[in-house]
Amino acid sequence: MMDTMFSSLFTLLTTGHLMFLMCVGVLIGIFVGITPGIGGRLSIALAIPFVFGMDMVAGAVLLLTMHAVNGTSGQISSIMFGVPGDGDDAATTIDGYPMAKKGEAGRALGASMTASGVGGIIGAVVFAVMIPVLEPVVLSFSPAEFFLLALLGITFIAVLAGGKHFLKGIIVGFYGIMLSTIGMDPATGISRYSGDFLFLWDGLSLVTAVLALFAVPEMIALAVKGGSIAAVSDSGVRFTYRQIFDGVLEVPRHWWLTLRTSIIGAVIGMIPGLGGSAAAWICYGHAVQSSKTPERFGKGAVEGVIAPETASNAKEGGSLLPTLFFGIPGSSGMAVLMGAFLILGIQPGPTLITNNMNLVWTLIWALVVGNVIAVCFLLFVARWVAVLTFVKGSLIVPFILVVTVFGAYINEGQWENLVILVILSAIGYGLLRFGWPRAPFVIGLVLGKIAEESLNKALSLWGVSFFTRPLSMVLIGLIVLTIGYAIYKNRKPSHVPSEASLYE
Amino acid sequence: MSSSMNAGKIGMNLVMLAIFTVMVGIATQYPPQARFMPFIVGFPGIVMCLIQLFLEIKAIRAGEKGDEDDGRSEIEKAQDEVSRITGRKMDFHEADGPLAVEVETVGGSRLHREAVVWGYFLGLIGSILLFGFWLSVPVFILCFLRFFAERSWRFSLLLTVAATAILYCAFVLGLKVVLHEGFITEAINDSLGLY
Repeated sequence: MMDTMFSSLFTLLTTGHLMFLMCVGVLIGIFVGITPGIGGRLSIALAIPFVFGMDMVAGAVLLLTMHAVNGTSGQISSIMFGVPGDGDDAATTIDGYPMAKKGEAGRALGASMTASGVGGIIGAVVFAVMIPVLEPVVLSFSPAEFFLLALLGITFIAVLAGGKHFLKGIIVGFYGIMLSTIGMDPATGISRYSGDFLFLWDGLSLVTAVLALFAVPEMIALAVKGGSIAAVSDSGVRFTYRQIFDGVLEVPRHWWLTLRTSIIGAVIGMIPGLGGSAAAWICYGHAVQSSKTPERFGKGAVEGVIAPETASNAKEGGSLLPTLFFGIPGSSGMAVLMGAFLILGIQPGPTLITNNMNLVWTLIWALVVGNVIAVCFLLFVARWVAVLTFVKGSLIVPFILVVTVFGAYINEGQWENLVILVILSAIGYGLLRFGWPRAPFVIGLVLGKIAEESLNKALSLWGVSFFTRPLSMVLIGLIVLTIGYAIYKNRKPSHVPSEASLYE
Repeated sequence: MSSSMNAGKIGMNLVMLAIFTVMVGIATQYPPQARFMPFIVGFPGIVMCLIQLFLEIKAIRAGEKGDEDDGRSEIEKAQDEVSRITGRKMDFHEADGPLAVEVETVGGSRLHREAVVWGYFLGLIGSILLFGFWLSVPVFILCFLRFFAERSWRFSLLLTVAATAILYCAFVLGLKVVLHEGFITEAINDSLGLY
């Protein structure tokens, strides 16, 4: 294993085009992270057409680096202007913005970026440490378990993403699976739901579906909402490199908190659907609880910046684990990433462990190196890239829409996909507008085919008795428990807002 | 909650119900093995849609407020959430919104704006299908920037030319992609004997 581990690092660092793609990924990730209205998930969906046909390692490294670093730049607007880039960065605003108001923006930025980078690296280390632990578990799984894992993944995401409306989440997940049945049935050779439309015989284009469900609705919503920042006072925005360096040193000063929150973040990332803002808020709460002076929080405590940043970036390493080994994306961003991996020819699951550990290690190292590059770059250019916060939504919308249309078309070179794009976008916008979570759709669509193949194999091997296999029963128990928990939670009166808004 | 919002929520439920019902209906014509998966997903889907529809109607009749309508700001929600996690009263008012921010506003009712943006999007797709990418994309970007985003002609033209050039370099010169020419453009080219 050590051989594979270090040879992957050596290959990554010495292959010119991989390093170039990582740098490109870092730049795009930073741009996406700081520009309001474009999330990490959307950026991956938009990048899929560009990596189509690329070598699988190169494509995966580019996409993963993009995804991994966009959280690192999102906190710039949170700290400098009190405007979080996305849900993950909201927790950073609570103490980061008061620090900026006190004239400590540089210190807050230095601390948050370093914490974010360190969190990303520790998240990757946690992933690496878990490989030998999980390897025998993954290899012991049979097709029966993979079918149930797919159902468990959808249930998890539906319950956690849907919050109070978990039933909507499950319906959307099932809708995704239903659409995955479009095309030639591998078992019988019958063309399902495709009629005379040849372009549907290979199934619904995953790229088109993802773009339709996420890119178009979000861009239309952004154009409708308007509301970007037009101007802001520059009080607290001016800072020196010395202040940034002081902030960098805050991370080793609070090394124990950094380590704890990174590990908590990585573990949260491993639980499908629980990542995102949950990791940041839980770790923020942990920092408050473990502090001797909790009254400083909310008024500019540097620990309040370090804890959520380490957690939200460490969760990326954690969420890669269920995505790659069990084929269950840890978050909606990972679901889109997994879809992209499938397009690149990377099949998550046991075959990845048996045949492609090199790739797994390359991805782990890509997380580490990508974070290092992003932090070094951002520490120098933070003050300049902050202006991207002021890019107006109405200026971004036409360009993203055009790239979306290009993406939907060039994936298969079929004009019919543009019609599919419109139909699915209308449904996607309806889901967004009326509070239905969209993340379970991608999971359903991505896992649907795998689930069907696994189900067919399991039925031919064991018949319906596969449900009584011990591991299957454990998974069925988990599905029932998850749904039971959701029902119990919703019966209790709660003032906590639905996760749906945070997750979306 | 407005009546249009309620109608939309019920409408969305009905759309999902219709999708599952139609797909299950079509699947009945397939051989047993091919309809197995659509059935085991579709039937529970229909049942869940009906339950959700019932819950939605019940909630509307009871006048239940949505999560988004509880009147608290994001900071207040965060304050309550962290107070709940830590069991201690938190005070986040110092992080509450930058004082000097001006927010770009968009005029007109939401429904009107939605119709306009959808119009632009459908126009782009329709135009690509009829006239191809290289005629439609610049026109779409220019119109959107000039009329929807209300930028100056000069700024809109500049961005349009730059964006089209970048897209051309990336997709045609870089990725060597052959793009759809448009049915009308193709017919005109055919009739002029340009192929």
